[in-house]
Amino acid sequence: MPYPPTRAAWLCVALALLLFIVLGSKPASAFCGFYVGKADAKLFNEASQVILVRDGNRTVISMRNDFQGDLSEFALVVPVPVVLQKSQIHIGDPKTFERIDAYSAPRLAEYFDPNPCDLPRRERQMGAMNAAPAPMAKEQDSKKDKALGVTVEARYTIGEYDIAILSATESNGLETWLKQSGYRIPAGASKALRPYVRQNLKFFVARVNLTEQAKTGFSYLRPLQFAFEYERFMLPVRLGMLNARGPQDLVVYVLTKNGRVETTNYRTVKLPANVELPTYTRAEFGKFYKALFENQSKREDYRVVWTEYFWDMAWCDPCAADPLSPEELKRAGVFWLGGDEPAIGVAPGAAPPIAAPRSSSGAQPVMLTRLHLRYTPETLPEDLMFQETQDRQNFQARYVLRHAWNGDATACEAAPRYFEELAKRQEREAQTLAGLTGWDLNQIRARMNIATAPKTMWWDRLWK
Amino acid sequence: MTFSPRSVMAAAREVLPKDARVFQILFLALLLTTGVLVRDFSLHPLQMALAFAAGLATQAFWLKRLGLEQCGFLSAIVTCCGLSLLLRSDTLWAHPLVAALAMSSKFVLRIHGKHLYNPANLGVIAAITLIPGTWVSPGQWGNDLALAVWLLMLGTIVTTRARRLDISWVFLGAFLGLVALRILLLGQSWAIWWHQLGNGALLLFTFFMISDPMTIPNRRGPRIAYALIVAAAAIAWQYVLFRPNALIWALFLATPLVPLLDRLFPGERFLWRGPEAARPTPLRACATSGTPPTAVAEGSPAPARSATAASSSFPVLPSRT
Repeated sequence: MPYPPTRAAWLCVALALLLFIVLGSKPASAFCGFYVGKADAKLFNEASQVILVRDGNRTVISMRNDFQGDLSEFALVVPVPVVLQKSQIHIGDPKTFERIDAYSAPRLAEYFDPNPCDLPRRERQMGAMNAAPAPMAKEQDSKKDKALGVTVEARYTIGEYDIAILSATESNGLETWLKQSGYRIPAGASKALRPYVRQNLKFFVARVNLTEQAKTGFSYLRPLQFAFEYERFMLPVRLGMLNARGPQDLVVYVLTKNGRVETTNYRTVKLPANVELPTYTRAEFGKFYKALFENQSKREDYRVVWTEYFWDMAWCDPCAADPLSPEELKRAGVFWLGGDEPAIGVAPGAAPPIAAPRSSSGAQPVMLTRLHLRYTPETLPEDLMFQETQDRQNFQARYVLRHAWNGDATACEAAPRYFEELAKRQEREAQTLAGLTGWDLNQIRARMNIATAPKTMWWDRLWK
Repeated sequence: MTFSPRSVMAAAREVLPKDARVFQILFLALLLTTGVLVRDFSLHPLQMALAFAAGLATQAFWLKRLGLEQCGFLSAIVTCCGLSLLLRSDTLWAHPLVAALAMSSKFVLRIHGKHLYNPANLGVIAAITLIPGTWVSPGQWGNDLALAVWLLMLGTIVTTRARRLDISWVFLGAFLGLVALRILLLGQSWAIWWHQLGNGALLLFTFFMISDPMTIPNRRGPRIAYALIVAAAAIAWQYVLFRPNALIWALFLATPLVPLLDRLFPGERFLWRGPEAARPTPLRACATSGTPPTAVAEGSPAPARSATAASSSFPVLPSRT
């Protein structure tokens, strides 16, 4: 929830103090500032987005298809633990994805350097020290199906989708059945389907009912949602790799009650964040973030799941978008929110904590972990397995811009020193940007206009 | 002067420390540094410092209280390294509290003169079940085969030194064998097997936790059976129950079998410094090398079977003399 400026200032002081006491780390100028830009999931072509809601064994999965092409060719095959009833399947709202994406997207915050002449000397020294900020059918058909070992357990038409729930005894038979039934599935699907068939999983298969689709009036496909109980906290991603050309992107928004979610069979790492960048990145934050993500993923050989965001959904600072309302969360699949009571929100006057409180009283919390991974079939041999940790330390992929003071080096005695520090800081920013994105350092310097800045040598200060 | 491989090995044996724990500490420290610097462990330096402070202080407290001044702090350092490697927390107090608990367990939870649980294992389980804000990140090491080879090498040195290598290899073979069996049954890709082999957490567990000579059966046969039980339990936890942290849970659940196996199949109790390092003067036994203190001379092979003679009581606190 956005705070009025005065309260925000107090919160910053309180938060900085708390962080300093609790973690003994650098004071968090990091938590304050103005939100100026974000890098949402639309940046990444061919990025699949999934909202995964989980508590105990109860699971709600929403899948967004950015399917571009002939709708008659669309086919979705998802292994599910049980034969889903019609009431377990729902058509979601693409806006939910947009809202949750906007809320958790990597963001940019900016600050303006104060006039160094106005600052008492001691504060200047403190400022220099603390410059670095601290720190998701029919009878005949039925006979044919049996010969292939495929049983159509149920058929539904929901929204624009024709859905069938299948069970299969043999993966080749399943592949043949899907092909004969007009599903456009890639060659070699049976090999990928085999482990799921042998684990007695059912298959949720969907294609577009063109008549129904025309009735909706939408030019796009709406997300599919399904709710079920399953002991495995996982996401079957291997089937999606069959027709992959090159690395693919997946953004998973995991909504849980207790804490941050991570993968147990891959490394989960927080993206490098909370660093200061050259101010020119303001105009091209999207480009910067794309380059950063690409560079970091490549450096880790596409074997890392990145955490882009983890926060209690009751508040945010700075807010890239307003937190989701209880109604919106319910649409996303959050099933533990009560009916009408205000489930989330910050009590007036209460300072939000650094880590969310562990109280069981009152409204049930909703924690959002945004995981983003770029992978190839070779780097992701197993489906993603997750665990919910007890970690409640908030994290956001947040980048900081600090605008220089727009004054004169002769304005006061403190001014030359400020510009000296500024030059050092800008060099650091250039190096940070080059390190994160793999961009050419000299080009960055040129764009920042810092290469031409006269360099002050140590002796210049000696005899002044 | 000739330098035959044998003479070099003999010279190395003379120079290198006799106590396997020295190697263990060196390697665990190396892994901890690698983890923090290269693998982005979410471990605050202060958490680590507090864990060590509390762990060592607890060890000192128990040594003084039980009059075991001759015993050192090697085991405590090993445990604190292990806790720092495994346990994650969003508070500062969890690590020291767990370190103190883990070290105390070594002196309090004793059967037949051996401490029951591997202190780091008990500490981690106690933390994730009882202390809010703690967790274990099984994926933190990644599945990097290069790192796996390093872990294999370092682990082999330590376990060879501790003369309990059999349990590590049997466990690793059984675990990976069962993973392979599952892959065959399900028709999965063999890439999964390599992915499991490259898992740093598996290798760390294999060579630095299950191999703790103080908390495994004394005789070779039961030790191998125990390794097989732990491997089967871990596979069941991971692929039948689909729950995380299979290895540490399997070890924790199987540990009570150790005193039972030791009772059924008595054998020589392990001594950290080995018979060759035996000292002529009888010393009070360290908590790590067995109780009762008056009866056992550290490093002396003679009273090793006394463990079987000791009456079974739980827990056993060695009495002051």
